[in-house]
Amino acid sequence: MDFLAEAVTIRDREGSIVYGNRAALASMGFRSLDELRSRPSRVIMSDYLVQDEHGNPLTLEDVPSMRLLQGDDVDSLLMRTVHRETGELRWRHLKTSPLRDGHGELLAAVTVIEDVTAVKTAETQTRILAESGRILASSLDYQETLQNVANLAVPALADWCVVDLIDPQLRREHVVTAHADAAKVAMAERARALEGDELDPASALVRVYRTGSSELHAEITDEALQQGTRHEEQLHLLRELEIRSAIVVPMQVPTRTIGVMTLITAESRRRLGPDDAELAEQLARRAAVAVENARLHTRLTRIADTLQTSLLPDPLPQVPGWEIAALYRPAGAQQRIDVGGDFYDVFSSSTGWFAVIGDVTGNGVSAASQTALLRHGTRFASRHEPQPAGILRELDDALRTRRTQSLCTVLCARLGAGTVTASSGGHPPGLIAGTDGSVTETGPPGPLLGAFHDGRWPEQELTLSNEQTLLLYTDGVIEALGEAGRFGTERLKAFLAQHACDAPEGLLSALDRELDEFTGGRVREDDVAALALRPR
Amino acid sequence: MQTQFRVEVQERGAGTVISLSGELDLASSPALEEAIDRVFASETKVVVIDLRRLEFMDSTGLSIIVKAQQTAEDRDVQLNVVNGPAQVQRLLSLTGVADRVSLIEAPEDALGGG
Repeated sequence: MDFLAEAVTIRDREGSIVYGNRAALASMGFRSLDELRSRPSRVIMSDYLVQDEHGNPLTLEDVPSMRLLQGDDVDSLLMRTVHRETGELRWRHLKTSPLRDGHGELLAAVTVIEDVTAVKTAETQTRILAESGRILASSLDYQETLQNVANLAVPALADWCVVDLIDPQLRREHVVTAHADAAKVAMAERARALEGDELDPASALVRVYRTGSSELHAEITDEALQQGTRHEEQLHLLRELEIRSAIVVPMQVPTRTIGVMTLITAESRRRLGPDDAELAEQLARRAAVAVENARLHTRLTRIADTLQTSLLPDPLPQVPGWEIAALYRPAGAQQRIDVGGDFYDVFSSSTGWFAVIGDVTGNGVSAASQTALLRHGTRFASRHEPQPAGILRELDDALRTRRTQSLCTVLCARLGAGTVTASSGGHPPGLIAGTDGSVTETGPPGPLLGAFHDGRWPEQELTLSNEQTLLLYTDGVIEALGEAGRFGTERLKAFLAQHACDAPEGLLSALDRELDEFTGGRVREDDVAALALRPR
Repeated sequence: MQTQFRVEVQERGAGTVISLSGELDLASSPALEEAIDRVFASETKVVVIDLRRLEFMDSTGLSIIVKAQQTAEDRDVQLNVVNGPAQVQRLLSLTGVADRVSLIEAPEDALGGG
């Protein structure tokens, strides 16, 4: 049997190995059969840490040949061994069969041992990389995903997996410390707390972070531990953890290194090697991308939220002599876009109080940013221009010179004591509803803003009693789409005739409900904005 | 409910006719923009945008027409618009666009006998 590549052993009924072929001797490190026979199996096994594929420790009694000799019906076992001294990891597949005499009496157990280290290692690596990819893509909560990835690596690849994010000032944001035993995690975190978050420039972590090159420390000596620690207690804790071997790899995204991943073996006694380093590098790279994506998302969301908040209409001021309410429903609320191309503003300037409503073509963020320009432009113009028509002229001028801007419609009104001076730039006419049931439109509009050279905007002066409400609105109201078609101006007028007795606030709430009912609660495609004004 | 937007481009007589049908809004406007870009690229001298079968138009459609008018002026191309149904007419007139584009009754008026 010496010509066989697989190792073969024969164990007698007393449990002693009586034969091993050349491959068996070589794999166990014996030079002769006599040497093998002189060492009891139990002693041989004690040279190794022996586990099954699930990590459960195995004793001599668990070995298939022993179990077979005890009368168990068993034939194979996948065994994982780490040689305590060399730290070498091997996977072996043991297949055992009985050797019987002529009467069928069990004489011995013959075991064929196939070394499947290469296959098993490759399988583990592939599984870990595939799973890690899936985990990292599953959520933007990188604390959670990194913990899950670290849990993948442990104990399959190493006993410890630690992830640290590092900023350019060498400050550490610790993310994950993983180990199969929670009590040990607590110890490690204690050691880390002693170390602090300001990293020592001489440490491996910093070296790897700065150079972007991995470091393999196959055998960590006590001297190395001493050098790497600042506190007695820290050193003591690390010694207790029996650290053997470590790999430190950079977490890199295309533009920079964002942190470091460390794999450490300890109680498993395994010595890490270049293959492990390569896998760790791949794992770390994926983890880095996931973290970066998550951070980018958070940053962008924060920017979007900040910008949006600055683009939202201000709360309505108290206008002397007027009761005013506003309605604002941007489209696309599902996409977390809370601003749109519709805007309104009520403000006072040196020339008086103004109410403005407008609509920038399109919606979303780019339209919203243009509404900011219009709102500011209106306020600014009103400082020296008291007439709404004049304000529209200035806005049109400003828009026309910038062809790439969207077109917009604006209705601008100056509020007096029971009077409204209004001018419209292509905007749907305001509606005046009286408690007598009448509904009238405000005057003829000039052209929309930003399009034509020869715009002229007529102005209209209106007098309102406290029995009349002026409604300014955007086309999102009349263009709202429901089962019955578009909401339309006629329906809006009918609604107003019915609700003319309501106070502005109540009127707009009712309008909001009416639109919701009309559209059947479907997502609005266009922004809706409205102002209701009534003299006190 | 909402009718699917369609745009047809046809060369006729001295120019090109762009016929629209269905509802022109934010979702369907890119199709119109694409068609208009293509037509201007073809160097035709007369363009007619036919709105007669358009059921609805909002401000996005409107701004495309306004931009088309500006492009036509820049390139010395004659742009005409055949006006659409009530809602479309109202929008064009409310915004002053009706006064500033060449409104015609039918494509033939701009294209000659062809």
